[in-house]
Amino acid sequence: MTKKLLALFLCLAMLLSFAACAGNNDSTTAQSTSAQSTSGEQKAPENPTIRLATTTSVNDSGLLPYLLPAFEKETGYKVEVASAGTGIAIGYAKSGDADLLLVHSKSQEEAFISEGYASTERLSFMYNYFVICGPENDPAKIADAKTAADAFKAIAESKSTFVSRGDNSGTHNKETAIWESAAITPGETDSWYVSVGSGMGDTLTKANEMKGYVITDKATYLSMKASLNNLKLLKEEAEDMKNTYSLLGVKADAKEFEGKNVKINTEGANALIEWLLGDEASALIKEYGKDKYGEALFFLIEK
Amino acid sequence: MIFSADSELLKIIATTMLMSFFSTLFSSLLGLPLGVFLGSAEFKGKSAVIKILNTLMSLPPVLAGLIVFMLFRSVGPFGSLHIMFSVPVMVIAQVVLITPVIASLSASASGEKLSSLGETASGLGLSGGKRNALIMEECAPQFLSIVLMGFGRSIAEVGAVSLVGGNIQFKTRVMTTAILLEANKGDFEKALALGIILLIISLLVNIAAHTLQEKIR
Repeated sequence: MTKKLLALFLCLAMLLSFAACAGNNDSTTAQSTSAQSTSGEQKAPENPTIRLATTTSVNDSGLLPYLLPAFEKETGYKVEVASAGTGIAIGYAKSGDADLLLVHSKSQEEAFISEGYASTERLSFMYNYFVICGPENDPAKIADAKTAADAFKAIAESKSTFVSRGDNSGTHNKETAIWESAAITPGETDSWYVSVGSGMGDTLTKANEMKGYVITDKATYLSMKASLNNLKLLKEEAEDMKNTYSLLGVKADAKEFEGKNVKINTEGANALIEWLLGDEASALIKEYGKDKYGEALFFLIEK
Repeated sequence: MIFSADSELLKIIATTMLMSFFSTLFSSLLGLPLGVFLGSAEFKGKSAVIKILNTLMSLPPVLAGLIVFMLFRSVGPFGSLHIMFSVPVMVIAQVVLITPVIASLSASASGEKLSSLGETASGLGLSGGKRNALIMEECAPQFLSIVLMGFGRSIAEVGAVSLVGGNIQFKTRVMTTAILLEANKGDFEKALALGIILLIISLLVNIAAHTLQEKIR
């Protein structure tokens, strides 16, 4: 008897939980449709969810949360942003779990295209500059360096602490490229070179604690400046520190997706790309950061 | 910050509770019967099964997340379900993580009870299913503690849910991934405030469970 009761109870619990799951799904659909109906007269897109995989710098700096509501309101699309380093963002796209990419690592983007995953070319549309931050007393005297490569050479020669992302992100790749152009390969024996393997914000915090040098995108540095008491912006706007952001659509019929159940929202991705490259987004991007930091954080690439 | 209940915070709390509830529920539905079976039945290879379960108790969350990610990403074997970056896939990853813990702990709890109850049971002429039911009944308070532990692991876990959930705002962002994000952004005060809210929620759940435990005792 007890056993039967128990079984019954388990069945009920199972049913209830499925019902709750289904109920939850319903409520989310209801939510998104109501969001659409308030958003204007245009008809709702067939597949309203766009999955954007991107880097932390455009999301955590507040740019996407600032831009996307306007797009969502106008079009009725809902953009789901997964923000991580460029490496994992591209990994999501290759897994068929992103419709488009907004990243900043030329070599990785070109590899993504040559592997046949991209539905578009590399749509570079905005840029800013990486900056090098370090301790106020600047032991390696990088403030006098002309280029980032010179600054890195000075850091290596003085064996000053340098904190690296070490996570195969766009910023990390840029760093690696600068080390290459400086003809230096920091290795295991270089105890001044600290590879922390984490995101930009976390890396800045660690550099702040270790009083080390660090290369970062300016947007993330400015947005965190208040908590980085040991770090000072020492080097910016050298030509080899340009940071270019590009959009890439994911190809729905990429060879690797064949026979797999990959569903890419090409229509949605194209709508978002078109909007981001359009006049309205351009005007918004140009202004972003001016009110809060007194300067623009991203610049448009003239078409 | 704690007291300004903005809608985003409420959404994060709701997602966290939904995820932890179902993770705990499914892990318990799988883990408790398995544990009772292992605790009471005798069969060949039982000790091997228990050793495997004990090993899985220390499965790193991020590894569970990685395995579930590989299985459920669109190009993976279960890609047709299209549940990446959703609460259900976070629940699956957590069930993989928590079920062994619940099974292992309930196996040892019911095993101990069996050795003290075994004679009574055989004296009463109970066997098999009825004996197991008796054990379930007698172990109820321990099982509740075990389930609570599972809930604790679920609500506090970050490695698996950030990998398969993607920490998407308004969708898969939970308390732990929100704390990590704020800490990464350098907003330590906000991160800490979120952490305090998480602990308050855990406290409330524990108080509720304790009341229930008193009742069944």
